[in-house]
Amino acid sequence: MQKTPGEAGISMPWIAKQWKKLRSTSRYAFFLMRRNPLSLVGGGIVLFLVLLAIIGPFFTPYPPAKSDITSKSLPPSSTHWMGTDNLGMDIFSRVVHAARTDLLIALIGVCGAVAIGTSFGLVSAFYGRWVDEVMMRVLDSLQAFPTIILAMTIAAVLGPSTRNVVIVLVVVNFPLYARLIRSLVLSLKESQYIDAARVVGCGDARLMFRHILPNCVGPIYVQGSLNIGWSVLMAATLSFIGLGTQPPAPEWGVMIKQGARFMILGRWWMAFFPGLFIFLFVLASNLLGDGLQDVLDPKRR
Amino acid sequence: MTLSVGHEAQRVCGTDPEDVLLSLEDLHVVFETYFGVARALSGIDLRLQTRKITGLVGETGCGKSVTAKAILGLIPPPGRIVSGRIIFEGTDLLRLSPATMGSIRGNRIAMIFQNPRAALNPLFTVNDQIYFLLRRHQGLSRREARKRGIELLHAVKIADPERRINNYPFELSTGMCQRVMIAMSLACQPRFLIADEPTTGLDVTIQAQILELFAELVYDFGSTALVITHDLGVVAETCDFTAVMYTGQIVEFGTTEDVFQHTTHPYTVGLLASCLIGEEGEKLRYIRGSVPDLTQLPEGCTFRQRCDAAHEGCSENRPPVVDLGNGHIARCCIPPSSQTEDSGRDAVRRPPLLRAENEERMR
Amino acid sequence: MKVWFYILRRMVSLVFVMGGVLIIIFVMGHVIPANPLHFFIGQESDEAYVAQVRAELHLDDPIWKQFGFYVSDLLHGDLGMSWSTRNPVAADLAIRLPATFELITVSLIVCVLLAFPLGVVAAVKRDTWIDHSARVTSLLGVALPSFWLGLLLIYVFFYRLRILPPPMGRMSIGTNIRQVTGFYLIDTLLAGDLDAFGNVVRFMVLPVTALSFAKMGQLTRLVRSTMIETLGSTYIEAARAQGLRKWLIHYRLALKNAVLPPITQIGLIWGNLIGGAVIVEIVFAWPGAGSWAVDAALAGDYAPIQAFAIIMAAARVIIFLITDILYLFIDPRIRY
Repeated sequence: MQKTPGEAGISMPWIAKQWKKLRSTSRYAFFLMRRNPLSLVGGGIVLFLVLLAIIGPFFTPYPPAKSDITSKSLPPSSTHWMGTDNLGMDIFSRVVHAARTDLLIALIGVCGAVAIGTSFGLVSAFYGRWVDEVMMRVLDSLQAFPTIILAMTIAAVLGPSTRNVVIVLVVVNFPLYARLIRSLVLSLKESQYIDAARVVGCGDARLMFRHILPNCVGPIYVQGSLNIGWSVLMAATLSFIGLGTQPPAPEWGVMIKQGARFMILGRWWMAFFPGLFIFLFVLASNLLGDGLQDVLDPKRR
Repeated sequence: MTLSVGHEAQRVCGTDPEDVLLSLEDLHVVFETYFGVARALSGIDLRLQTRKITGLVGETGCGKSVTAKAILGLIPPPGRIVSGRIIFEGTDLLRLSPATMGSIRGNRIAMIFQNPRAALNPLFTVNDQIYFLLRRHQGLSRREARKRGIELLHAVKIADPERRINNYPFELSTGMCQRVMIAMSLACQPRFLIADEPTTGLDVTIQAQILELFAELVYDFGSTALVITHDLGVVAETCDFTAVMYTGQIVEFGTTEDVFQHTTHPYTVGLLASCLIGEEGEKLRYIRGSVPDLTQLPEGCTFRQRCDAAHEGCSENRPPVVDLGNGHIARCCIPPSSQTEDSGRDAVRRPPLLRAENEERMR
Repeated sequence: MKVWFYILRRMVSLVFVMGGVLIIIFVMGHVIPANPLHFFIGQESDEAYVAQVRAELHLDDPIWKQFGFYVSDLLHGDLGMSWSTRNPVAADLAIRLPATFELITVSLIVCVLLAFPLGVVAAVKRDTWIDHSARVTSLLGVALPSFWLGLLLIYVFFYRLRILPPPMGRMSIGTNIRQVTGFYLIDTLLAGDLDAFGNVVRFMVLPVTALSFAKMGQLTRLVRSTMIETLGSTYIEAARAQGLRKWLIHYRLALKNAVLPPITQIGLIWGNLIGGAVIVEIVFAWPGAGSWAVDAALAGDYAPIQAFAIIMAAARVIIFLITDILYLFIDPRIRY
């Protein structure tokens, strides 16, 4: 599946081969996903929510931060599909805008985690022995904290803001990818075609980027898709506690926090709908991730 | 000279129907997978003579293990038995209720598994496992079962059985595990014993011992045995009868001597040839091609694509069973015109042939 | 012999991990912030007090010296002062920790008691309605935000059905419990006060459900898949070939093999429940260490969070170690 060592840069035949590979992989992926329809459902929901996040905010009936005291705390109706909160803001509009906020936070967070984690893992695995030991100890210590507590602590130090939530996500998630990449690289390092590449004269960097990284992409996708749902949950959790996005910014966690105290008064819609969306997204990304995992490792059932 | 299955085939396979302990009649087993319906057994006919050891040989994937599991009623889904009969001591096993079948398994029909270490439960001692078995079929108490267990371990020549019986499987060597397996299978003195690859996975030195032990015990207990293996050497050593299997059918059957000395079916010929040690400078022999996909078996004879003697007649119908005398049969459609006399060994290079003497009998 | 070497090695690595934990917390609290003093004095403007705290934190000393003081303080049990509650952190923690541990432990027990049977039965009766509902429930459970679930439970069981108490802590106001262990379930039984016991139980139902639901889904899935794998193994097939009865095969021969791997997960789940407990405490106004730490965090009071994080990380790591060691003794194969 990998290019032979010494093949010169990017050329038309190479692009054509990549395209063909992509098509046949996607076809295979779809075939396998059809066997597991739940993952297609998951993928569909994810797609829907992504579209909602991208296009939705342009079409919401009310601006997300417009407070209208006259319509406060109204249950769902035809004018306010999901009701209003105690400041009169339309919940449906806020939920849609929050989709964008949350998905963006999670996406940037996960991408950052992937970038940093991959670099970390590559370096650790490649330069072996002493470097590896130290780096793995650092990860061990980081992962010794219960995740939410680590997140809380970082947020407490940096101050509650959306930007810091992203930072928290990066710090909390990168160990996963670091370990993943490290184990992949370690096993690939031993494989014979790497030796062959070295014999031909491949340098370290070239070896890393051209030969080892492409093999890691698949597992990263799987881990990433499972991770993104969880990251949305983590971001919302932090905001719910009060250490993340601050009100009145539209974010699912923030909305649940605002609506929480009204639960015992019976105004269920304020906290229900944002939570529902979090739930759907996490569920969908889990299903999608499971499906992708079947594609990569069909032995699982 | 086409013979139909059933009563006729019974007559062909040598002797008295009364001497047959278990017979498989036109058994069809399929596995329904996403990639298609795999036909594991396509009409297998096999008769096992009482108190004799029959060997079932074939490549991996030809359906040997499926046959064993079918007899025991252990075909896992998505597999199922489509049609056919399994007659054991006069009863069709396929018609029995699961409860009755449960009391036959381990009791009157027993099985030895391929990987002895994997076949023993790692978290229970040998004593426990023998106890469960004996309690189920003979209602023995713990103490009685332990006594009987030590006797059995003694019979399979395990040293210091009083101590060994308390061991966990991981404390035993592979050879000992196999002995324990054999002991457990004989515990209830079954009439019929199936040994699925009993020596695969054992050291060569142990193999001989185990085989000898096995054959000895089978004769001592008066049981009938079916030895499933891909190792022709095992068959030659231990078995009275040999059945050769290919893609879910028996392609050749007879006494071991007949099958090895007067090999008829091209597949068997190829198998034996690939075992032979040639002379210096000779190329290794093999059967060209590979086993066809079980979901897309070819029409007619399934071996024709790899057979040097194939002709148009081979692709029309399922090849008939040809009687070669003395209970030796082959499922092949050799046109009568190409018969010449020859010895089994040289048939490697030339199209497979019928022996002249059998040819006479058929006319 | 091998066993003891393994335990020793693990303990050594535990020391290293805790060392790393301390460094991380220290860096976060004393190195990263521009002015770490703020974290420890809050709104105080009294010059003398500020100077005193400055001296206590040794902020004028080089970093590595500060770290030295910090570690030695910890080892002496001095966890600093919380300016928001005006108490020593250690004292606050001592009061609040039992509530959290009680919540976590009860949730774990519930989780295990429900997940194991469900997972085993789902595997044995595969593809029946039991199996499907188990799988669906676990799938949903893993995705469910615990705070959302908690709120919904409050709405349904408190507001609508009025059968369970409001989310206001561990017991009704005015109930008197003689504190012995801090675990109210045990304390009320020790005092023979069955009314109080019932009261405590009622207050516990919803928080425990909210906390354990997600983990239960995870555990059920694991038990189910391990059981399915075991049922497909060669020795189970051999047991079937021996004609043994189904219930023996499933609930003794297979079960013993199947429960071992999930048992190792129990320690892991306890560790993960610690994080979940923080959120549940907030939703249900549970007076535990988690809600206390969050309150401090929101106020900008760092000493409590520091202590909380270290204690919880230590607890988690120790539980993992204990689980590993226990596993060594349960599996007879490894013993030898």
